[in-house]
Amino acid sequence: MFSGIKILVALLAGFTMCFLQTAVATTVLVYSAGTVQLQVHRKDAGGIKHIFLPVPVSVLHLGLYFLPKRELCQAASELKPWRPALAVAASELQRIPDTLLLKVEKNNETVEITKQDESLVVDVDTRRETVHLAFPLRAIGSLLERIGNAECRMTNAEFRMSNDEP
Amino acid sequence: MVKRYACFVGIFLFGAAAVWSAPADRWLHVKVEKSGVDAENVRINVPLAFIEKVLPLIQADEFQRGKVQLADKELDRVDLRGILDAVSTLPDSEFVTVQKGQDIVRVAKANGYLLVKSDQKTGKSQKVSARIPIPVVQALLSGSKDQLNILAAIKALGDYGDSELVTVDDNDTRVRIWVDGQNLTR
Repeated sequence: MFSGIKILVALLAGFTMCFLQTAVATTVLVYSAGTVQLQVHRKDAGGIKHIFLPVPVSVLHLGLYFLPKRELCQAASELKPWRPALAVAASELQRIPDTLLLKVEKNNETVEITKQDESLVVDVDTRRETVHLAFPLRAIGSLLERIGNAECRMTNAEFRMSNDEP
Repeated sequence: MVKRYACFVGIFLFGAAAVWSAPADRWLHVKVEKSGVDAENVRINVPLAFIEKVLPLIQADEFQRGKVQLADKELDRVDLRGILDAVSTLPDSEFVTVQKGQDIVRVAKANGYLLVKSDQKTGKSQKVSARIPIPVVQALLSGSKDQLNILAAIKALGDYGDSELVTVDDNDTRVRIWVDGQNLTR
């Protein structure tokens, strides 16, 4: 009986170790490609005041697989002429030091685009809310590639189905 | 033995010189300050190398591979390149002065730069000053007759030091475009 408990404990410990290792490996894998951070702070009263949404880039990649084919193909088609320029721009921005790239101030509202810690950061400050979006530059190329490589040759049945969608 | 050391030292010095002489990033800055009811401020800081790499890849309607297609056919009648070639061979001087009432436009050449100054006092007063290196203007006009070669001009601009390119001052708006080695606006 006593040796049975020992075996059970050893098995549990083994499973726990395996689970922890898998969890750590998955976390490292998920976050290794960087994280897109979105923060929204509403200044007016009522409703949700603050949103902080960190999305790992690998989750965005995964999300593209679940995006309806029609939307993905439309995005791929709209992005097609800009893809080479965007990819080169993202790669070139990684080379330059952290800096303010664009700032527009109008009617006490501000939009700032900066390069900060290997990310492209967009800060919007309006009377109603502040928005902070940080996008890892090294992820832009791979995401563009993933969208560009979307298989967009639809079968007639798929095309009819996509057109029937509301 | 001495020869070998001398060779190593020579290679080291050559390498160091190559690294030290490598051009630092040049930055194009644009600053727009508009006062009054519709007050607005815009600041743009972009490295010239970034523009050089990205421009050829942009293909929009009138903008193709770093060149702008001009819609104004009036320019076809003027041989801008011919005029510029003639100007570049002449000594420094003021070539054109147009005065109409209190408004004056001056075009001159000084130290390899093309200078354009306009001072409009009637109606909405406005002062425009442009100081562009002549090779940059030549590069700008290096495309076909109805094109402006922005990419070539940006490349040519990289060879020059800190320089104020364009300033526009009117009643409520001030625009400055300049190039320097700093990534911050002044």
